[in-house]
Amino acid sequence: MIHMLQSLIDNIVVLPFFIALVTGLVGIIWRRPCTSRRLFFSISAAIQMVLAWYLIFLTHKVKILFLPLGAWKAPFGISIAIDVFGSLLIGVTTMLSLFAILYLFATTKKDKENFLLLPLIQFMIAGIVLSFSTGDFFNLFVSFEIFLIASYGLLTLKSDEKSIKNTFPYLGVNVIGGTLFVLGASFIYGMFGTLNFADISAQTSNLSQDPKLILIASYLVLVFGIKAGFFPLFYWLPRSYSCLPPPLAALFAGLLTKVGIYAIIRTLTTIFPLGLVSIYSAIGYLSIFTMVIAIIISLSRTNIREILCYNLISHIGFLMASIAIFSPISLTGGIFYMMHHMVVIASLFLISGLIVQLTKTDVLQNAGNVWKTHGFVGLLFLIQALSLAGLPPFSGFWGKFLILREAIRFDQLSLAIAIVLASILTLLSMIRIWFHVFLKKNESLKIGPSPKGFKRSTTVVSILVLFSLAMGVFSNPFINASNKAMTGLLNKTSYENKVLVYEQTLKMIPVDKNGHSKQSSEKKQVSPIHSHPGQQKTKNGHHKNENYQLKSIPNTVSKKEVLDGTSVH
Amino acid sequence: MLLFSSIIIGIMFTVAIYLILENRLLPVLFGFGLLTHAANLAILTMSKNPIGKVAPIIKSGVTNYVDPLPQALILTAIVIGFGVTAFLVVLIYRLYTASGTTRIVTLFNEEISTK
Repeated sequence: MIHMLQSLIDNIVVLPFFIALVTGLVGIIWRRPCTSRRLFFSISAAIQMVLAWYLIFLTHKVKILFLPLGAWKAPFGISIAIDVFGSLLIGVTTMLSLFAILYLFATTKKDKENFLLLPLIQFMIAGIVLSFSTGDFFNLFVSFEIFLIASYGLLTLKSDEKSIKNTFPYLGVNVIGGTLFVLGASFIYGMFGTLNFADISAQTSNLSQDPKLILIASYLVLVFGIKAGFFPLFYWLPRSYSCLPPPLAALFAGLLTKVGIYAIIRTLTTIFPLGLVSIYSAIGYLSIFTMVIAIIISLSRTNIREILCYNLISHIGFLMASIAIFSPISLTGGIFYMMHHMVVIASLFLISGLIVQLTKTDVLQNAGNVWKTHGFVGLLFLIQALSLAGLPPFSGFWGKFLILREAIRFDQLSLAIAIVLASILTLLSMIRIWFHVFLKKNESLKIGPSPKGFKRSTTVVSILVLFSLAMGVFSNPFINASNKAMTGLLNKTSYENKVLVYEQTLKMIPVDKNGHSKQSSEKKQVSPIHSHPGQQKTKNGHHKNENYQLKSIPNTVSKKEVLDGTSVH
Repeated sequence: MLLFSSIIIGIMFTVAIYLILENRLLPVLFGFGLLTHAANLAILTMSKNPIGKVAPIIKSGVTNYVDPLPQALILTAIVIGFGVTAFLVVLIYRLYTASGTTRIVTLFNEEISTK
């Protein structure tokens, strides 16, 4: 009994992924949509959320949760390693999936629900959670493909001509992206003979000036940039996202692009050595173009969901800016901004769904009158719009403030100007929606009594809005958590030690003649790092005296040196 | 051997990209298929020169095995590529039945004009 409990605790790392997968499979067998099936799916999503939040709690205690699948030691088997960063994103992901499912239940009738809809959502969540928790490059590719294939299914679920036409570019771009990803994995394997994050990190720790490394890192940034929707690569995004129903659009917008950004951050911090300055500056230029051009395009759109899509792309630029500055505080801001943006953009898409329920249109010209009849929806929209633009008491402000402050501190003025400009234009595009949908008087539009399920869906959205409001007003624990995530990302030695010098609970060492010799040489390589002094100096919860170990930053980046304990606020 | 396979990979990528840029959907389908296979071949190439090595089945007294990991990776990649290609075939078929043409220009021009 105790043994079983112990193994359950060991395996809790894969449970959110596993539960989502099993739930999806059950949903494929149990096909007839009915109330109990919906109850099953929402309970499963709730369990995933609770587990993910428990994972956040655990990672705050032990920093990195590690599970070698099948008890194969780290460089050989697939390793699952969740650090604070991964656990925070898993927490937000599972929360958004729960709310999207609840919204979906409130707005669609049972007999109109496609039986594949809920399983596909669960598969997508499983893939996203796996990509946030994996410690292996090829496994990252597999999890990308899991959620991409599920997303193709979700996009074509209606199977009408328009959605199929819009899926085709999305599919094409992602197939090419996936191929490039496989190619990148093969390059990495050819160079380092391993695909394990920690192992690559241990081997590249003193190679930060190697041109081959810079080449492959920039290649990977390109590959993940296709997923994230960078400046030249974003044309597929608004096309496909804007034809989705609101809860699915919320999930796609909130989660899929962030996985790309997550992979970029993971690549540039955990996997490759810190201090690849040329790549940071390239990301900086791309982020300026992404921020400004996308938001200008959003001003030219006349459709609420397309405006939101371009806002989403523009705000990917903010996250890239935080990577481009690459100081501890800017990364903290970036991580905080990522969590904020997942919640806010998802709830804005849900609010756009509420508006469509009321006015039966999402074209700005035809909408209007909503403020008079449904003021509460206006209030929800206003809170999230101001949060997106980054006004002080709301959650968007803190992330933007930290990134902007670091941009000015490191004399990256063009970046700072772009951030401010994009924020102002975001506000403008939100005001356009506000004016057309809420304030404008439209004689030809009659808003009748609330449609069926409107009250329930509004409740779901308002809980999400409350969460985002709490992120802004009580920002301290969230900023502390992102700070801790950032410390975990930059403290590469502890990640390597945890994964490579892992003490196995089970005495099962794979017998492999080839591998055995490699294993012993690996130990030799790692052991000096293992006895690195000051490895466990970080104090819990006190983000002011964190001990950053930017051990492999070369002298050329002295201006980006370790911060001397300046406070976040 | 490495040079030879890299030339083949290069040719495969070139042909795949040429096919993807075609105006009809069927060559695009073949292009995507070829593209994934080119990437798979690239992984296989990473297991270094196989001449003089034996298959990765453990026997006593033999030490020079072929690196088995790339083959395992390719197996996964092939399965995923197969799934995506199957989906693509159905998608293209639906596009064809819905609009009666597989020419990309006419397919997507119509959409722009109906907007």
